[in-house]
Amino acid sequence: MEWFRFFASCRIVAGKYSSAIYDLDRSVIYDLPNAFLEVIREVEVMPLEQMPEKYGPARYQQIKQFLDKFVEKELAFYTTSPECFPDIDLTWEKPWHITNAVLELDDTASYSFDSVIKQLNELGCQAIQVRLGCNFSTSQATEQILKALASTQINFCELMTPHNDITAAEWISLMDLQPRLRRVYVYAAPDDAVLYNDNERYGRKIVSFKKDIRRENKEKIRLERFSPNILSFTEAQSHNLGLNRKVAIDSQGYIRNYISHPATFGHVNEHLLADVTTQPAFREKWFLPNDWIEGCKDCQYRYTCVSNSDIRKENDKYYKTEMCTFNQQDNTW
Amino acid sequence: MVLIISKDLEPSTDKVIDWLRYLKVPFRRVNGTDMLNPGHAPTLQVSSKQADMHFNGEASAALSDITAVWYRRDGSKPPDTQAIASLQEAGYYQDVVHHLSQENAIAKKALYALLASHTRILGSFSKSSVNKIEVLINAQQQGLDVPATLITRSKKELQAFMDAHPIITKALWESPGITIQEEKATNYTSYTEEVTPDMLQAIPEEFFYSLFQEKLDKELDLRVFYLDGDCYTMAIFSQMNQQTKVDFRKYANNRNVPYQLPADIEQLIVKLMKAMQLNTGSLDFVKTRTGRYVFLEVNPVGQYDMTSVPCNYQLDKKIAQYLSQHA
Ligand code: SF4
Repeated sequence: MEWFRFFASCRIVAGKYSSAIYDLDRSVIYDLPNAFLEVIREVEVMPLEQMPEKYGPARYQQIKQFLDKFVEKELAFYTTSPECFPDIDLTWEKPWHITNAVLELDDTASYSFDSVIKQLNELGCQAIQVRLGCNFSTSQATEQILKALASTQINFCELMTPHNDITAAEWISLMDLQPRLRRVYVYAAPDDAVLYNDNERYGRKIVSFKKDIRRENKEKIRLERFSPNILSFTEAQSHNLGLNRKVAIDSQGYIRNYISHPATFGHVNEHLLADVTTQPAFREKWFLPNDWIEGCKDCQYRYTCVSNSDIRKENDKYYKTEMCTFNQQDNTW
Repeated sequence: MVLIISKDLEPSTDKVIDWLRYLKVPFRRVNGTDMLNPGHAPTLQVSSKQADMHFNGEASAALSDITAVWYRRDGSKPPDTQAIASLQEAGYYQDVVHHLSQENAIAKKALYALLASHTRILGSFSKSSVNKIEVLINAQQQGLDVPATLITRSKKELQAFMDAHPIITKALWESPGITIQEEKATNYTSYTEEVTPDMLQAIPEEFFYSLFQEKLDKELDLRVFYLDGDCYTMAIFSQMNQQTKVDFRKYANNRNVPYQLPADIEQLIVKLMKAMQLNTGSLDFVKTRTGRYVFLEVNPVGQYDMTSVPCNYQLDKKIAQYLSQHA
């Protein structure tokens, strides 16, 4: 007997108004109108042979064609041994206390960048984003930022800099010197442009955009920013993808869950990151997945959405303080 | 303390170490090349009372501190010849170099033997690479299905073999490939290729030793990561598009999903690994369209990340736990 099965890496995420299929291997999201959900659920628990009887020959033909489309798209397959294809265990576990950090830096020298990097390294941090609030020359960037990263396990560094006269070529030579520097974002620039993009070499990129992040630090959620994969999908089941295991330090040296959040958890000169980031109060929002948040819990993008909005609680319900512009009912952004 | 023997730039080692740190398990990593470095090189001592060793250097470790060993890989390098540089022109120079590298090799082997007699070892010192055909014979003897295989120098025998079924050929050894340096360097990597009648025609009556195997009518490639009696299996739908049909390593974008092997196949795998005295390794199988589970090979130090990540098996954590349970 033959059965229809989606690959375990192709996941249907049902939304209230519309649904999606995440292809976790290829990082693609397909729209799936809710009208199809019921039939998909039915056919997964019924061998093909029983379908003509259940649906009648004409409807069976339609359904079979529909299923064939998924198989053609390589999202699903037919098998005579469905028992051999267990689902993926969606438990998420990582051996790092902190995975990402956002660090604001300007000329006020409010905190020791070196000490923060050392502490982050101890906590297992893998990636940092450094947001420069003022102009740094390339030699300042090397001396004050990139040197600190040498011999740490932080292997991904993103730099955001105000527009200045440093050329893309100069940034690239900096990337050559310290390969951990993978991305440079030039903000408050005259144009939105991709200045350099080398996927082959550690996914290096230099991008400029007009927005001035010093004035507007809210990030816009857009469909193009979603790239589902097994790691984020499992994490999103029980954690807030935008906030989990992240820490931010603002230009004054205050520790936050994220740079745009109003709550602070002490000053990094007075407290160790290891102490602050293990406090239940600091971690609370890590464990608020979109499934628990009003609006988001109905959304088909809830297991890939990277919104790092603050979350507030009202009458035992959770809300994002920065809701996205996605209109679920009309499926428009 | 967990002792890890590995080599530089070995991502799986780094990931297991992350877990050991997270689980607060003390560990020491020694790269194969460090063992030759006088600053770190272990010292062995044998007397009528005891056999002992200790690692030197900053993070020194005594045999009694070591509770488990993970033998991941072992990068080696030629002996340091600085001290004999003045002999370079001498006719016997190469013999001296050879002598020194053998001295290193034996010291290392003795160290491994001492560790193995003292602590639990994950991995195998002596079997970081295995003879594929030996393993195939072993697998067949344990009761696993294996592909019909011919190793020959004769076209006549090859012809008869090919008359029975379509065949493929691949290297007998784990060849890294050959680089041919002409105007520019061209790399010829080693992979599996189907032998066509045209190819057969072009082959001389006698040729160098070559491996031929029946071409399996593949439904799935299966990769099994084996750890201390447990099988973590991934199915690779390598038939997704024409390109990957012969050798899935040539192209990405297959579908990789968790797979549950039948219990009797898992039992045979355990039997084979026990027979080979391996407590970890990666095994390759093919499931054919007719439902055969055909064993291809085992790699004692294979990369397992490509199984662990898509199936979310958390193998790094499982290895770290295995090591810490014995710590
Ligand atoms: S913020 Fe919520 S509603 Fe908006 S896209 Fe993300 S999950 Fe969906």
